[in-house]
Amino acid sequence: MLTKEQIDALFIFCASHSVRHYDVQVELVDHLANAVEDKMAKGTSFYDALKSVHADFGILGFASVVNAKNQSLRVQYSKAEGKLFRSYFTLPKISLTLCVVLALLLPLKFSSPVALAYFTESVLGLLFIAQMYFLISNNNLAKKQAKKLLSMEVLHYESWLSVVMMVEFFAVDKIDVFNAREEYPEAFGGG
Amino acid sequence: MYLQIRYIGLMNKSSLYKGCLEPIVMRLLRDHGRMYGYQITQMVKGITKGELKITEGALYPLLHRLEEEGVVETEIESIGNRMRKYYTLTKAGKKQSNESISELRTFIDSLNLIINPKPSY
Repeated sequence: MLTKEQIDALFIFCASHSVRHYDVQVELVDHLANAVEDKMAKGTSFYDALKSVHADFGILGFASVVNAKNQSLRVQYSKAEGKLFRSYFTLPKISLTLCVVLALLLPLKFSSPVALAYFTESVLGLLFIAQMYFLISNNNLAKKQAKKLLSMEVLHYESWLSVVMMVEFFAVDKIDVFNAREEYPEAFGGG
Repeated sequence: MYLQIRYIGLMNKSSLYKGCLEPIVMRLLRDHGRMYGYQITQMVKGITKGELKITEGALYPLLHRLEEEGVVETEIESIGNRMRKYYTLTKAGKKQSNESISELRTFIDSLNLIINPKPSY
């Protein structure tokens, strides 16, 4: 059985070979430790055994393992997102959403296009602020963690993609407001 | 034809076994319950008397893909001063392992027909 110092050396070895995340390192360290123990039992020194075991991973080294894990996490999160999205489409949830949307939009039907434009902009703005708040909170939480996790990093990356989409919606809505300004200049106080 | 035979001759063993890795791993998991990566490599090496060596660069990507597909599930346990990740076949994985092994058997039979063609009378 390897000592704690030798296990620590294996973690450092992984980190120095571009395996930065603890959740990937854990599996690799156990594999390396088993293989090194077997070689040490035959009289090889710890570092010579480690060198030889690392060579068994081939030219790409640990990269193939890291890339596969990354890809696997992305697919798993996409599947989970899809499942979550599909779970929304039930009669009670759709009915409730329609009621809320109608309750919010009906009064606007009788108000000016400017009020409608500002309303849409405010809703999108609030959604954007809420999303940014959750992202920053998650980011702070990830920073506080002593060990970096690939599973968290991939999840964080996916969340940022949704912010980019939100910004795009915001930009489209802004164009709508400009169009409304051109169409109804008097409503915006213009000539 | 000559070129094809020459190409097969130049292929190393690992290339020949490459497509068979998935059913082999699934069969081992079905027979032994939960296993960890290094244990799989050593068991294959032991059973085949060193003839087949699963490389780490092929095994872990495969295990991660099987996990993503819901074929295997994982659990992490503390083993002395380190952690160990175990893989187990899921219910769907057990069903898929039967299909996978049966496909491999059909493939072996087809290869046998090519290598040992029966004389036609």
